Amino acid sequence: MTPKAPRQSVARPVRWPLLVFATLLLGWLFGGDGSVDLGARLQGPSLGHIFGTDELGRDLLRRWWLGGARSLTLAAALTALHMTLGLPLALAAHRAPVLRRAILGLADLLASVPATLLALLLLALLRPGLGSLVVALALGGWIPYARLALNRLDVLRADASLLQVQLMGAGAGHRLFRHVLPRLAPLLLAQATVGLGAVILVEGGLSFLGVGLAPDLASWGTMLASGRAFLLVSPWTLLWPGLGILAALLAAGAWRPGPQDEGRG
Amino acid sequence: MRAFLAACRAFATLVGVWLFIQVLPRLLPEDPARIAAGEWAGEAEVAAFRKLMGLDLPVLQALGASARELLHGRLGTSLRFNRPVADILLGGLPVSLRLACFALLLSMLLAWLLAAGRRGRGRTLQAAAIASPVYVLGPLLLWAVAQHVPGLPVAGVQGWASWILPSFTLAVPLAGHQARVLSAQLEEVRESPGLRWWRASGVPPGLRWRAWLLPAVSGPWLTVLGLQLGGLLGGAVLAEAIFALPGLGQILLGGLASRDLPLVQGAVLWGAGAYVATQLGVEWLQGLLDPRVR
Repeated sequence: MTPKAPRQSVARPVRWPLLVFATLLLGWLFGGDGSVDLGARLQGPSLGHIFGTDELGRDLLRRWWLGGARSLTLAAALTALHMTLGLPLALAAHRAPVLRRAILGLADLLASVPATLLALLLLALLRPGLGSLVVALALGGWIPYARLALNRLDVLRADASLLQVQLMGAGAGHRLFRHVLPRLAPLLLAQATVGLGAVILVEGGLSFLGVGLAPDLASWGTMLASGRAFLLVSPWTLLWPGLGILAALLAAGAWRPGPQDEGRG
Repeated sequence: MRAFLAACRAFATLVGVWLFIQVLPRLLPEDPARIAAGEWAGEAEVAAFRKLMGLDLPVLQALGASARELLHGRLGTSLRFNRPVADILLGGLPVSLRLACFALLLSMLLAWLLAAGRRGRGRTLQAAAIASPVYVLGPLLLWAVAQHVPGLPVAGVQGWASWILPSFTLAVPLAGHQARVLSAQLEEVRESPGLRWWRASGVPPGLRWRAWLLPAVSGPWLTVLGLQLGGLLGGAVLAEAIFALPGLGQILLGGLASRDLPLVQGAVLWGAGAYVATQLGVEWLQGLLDPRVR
């Protein structure tokens, strides 16, 4: 049985952009100037700083806004990267049986190492930084996309309409872009919403451990990491980025085709 | 025969993982030895690090040496502690194993609680549980407990009570995923004509549960449990860091911070081994429960 494309109402796809937009607007309206103010360290919420301040007296709302934008952008970029890695690999595997064995074997192998451990292994070998984080997360991220796409391609092989298009003399490029990819898209996009949540989760965890993004780049993960040290003095430093990640994951989860979507189509 | 083949496949996967972990440092654009030696190291220091990491040997020779280490059960020598990696990992195993077991048991319990809720509220709770990462829930729980609950330890291992917070933190997201699958399955089975006929003809609820509902639900539940172990291993690293538990995760993170390559490689290989072994166990159990899978 092939997975069905998710039923999507209009409200769902706009939820993510709305979240990002609200974040940007909030930060722009109420974020302070972001300067270090050692006289106002670790303050709770007040009129001047709606979210409070961090350990260097910086406005938390502004950091939250910048960090959220960075976290979400990074997650979206990584998800796109995973998909652009997985799709060509699936196409190659579909074409050549030798490649198929190699690619599926590699996927099985990489999938048997838990994602966080795989990323930690790579981060132990690479120089710390954004590039390393991207490589570490891309190494295993393509697998679900490649497997799904390959599965669907195998089903499409027996599809009469594709054969008809081929017999009518359509070239390989035309068939791929006009007939095959459009049929793969819903499935891959559904997987992408799940993948987006997974990327946010793992990236946050790595940054929290201090091996992801550098601490000077505000992201929800790095804010959690630096807020941890001041937890008992001021929980606000931890609460806001935590809530941000929670909201992002909820939004990604709500968008995912859950059991309630199946069978209603 | 089937079980034997599955075991062979799992073993082959593990050998592949081991090969991959060993070869990976050589595939990277930058020399890991240079990064490990630090920014100000001279050529001599870098060469020394390369030798320690076994990167100075040709690939096949290095693989042979590593295989010999593996067969002797040492997994190489840690650069930082100058002791066999397997010994260091064994030191952290009891803590990690206990944490994983408690978290898994607790998550199974919580999953039934979450799945028992009626449609609307249950769904919301499940979604919230799934969206609560260990590194958000953990510190917030730690803060709340440290402030308001005297007597419950929040860091380190001090008796049984110190397992409550870490295992609860780990269990919540796991329970959310399980509950989602459980409630979907339960709903489907409850409405099946066969079960409705049983109910109408007066089969007592205990028997209905034992003979129909539980067996029908346990297959998918087991699958989710098996798949969750990967997430559990990753989450355990975080939970151990948050609650200062001296387990495998802490050893792995220490190895990462000090660029102790053999230690990190050994820990990752153990993680993969645990994951593959569990998958194998789940497959076998499913065969026992459901003859169709066999």
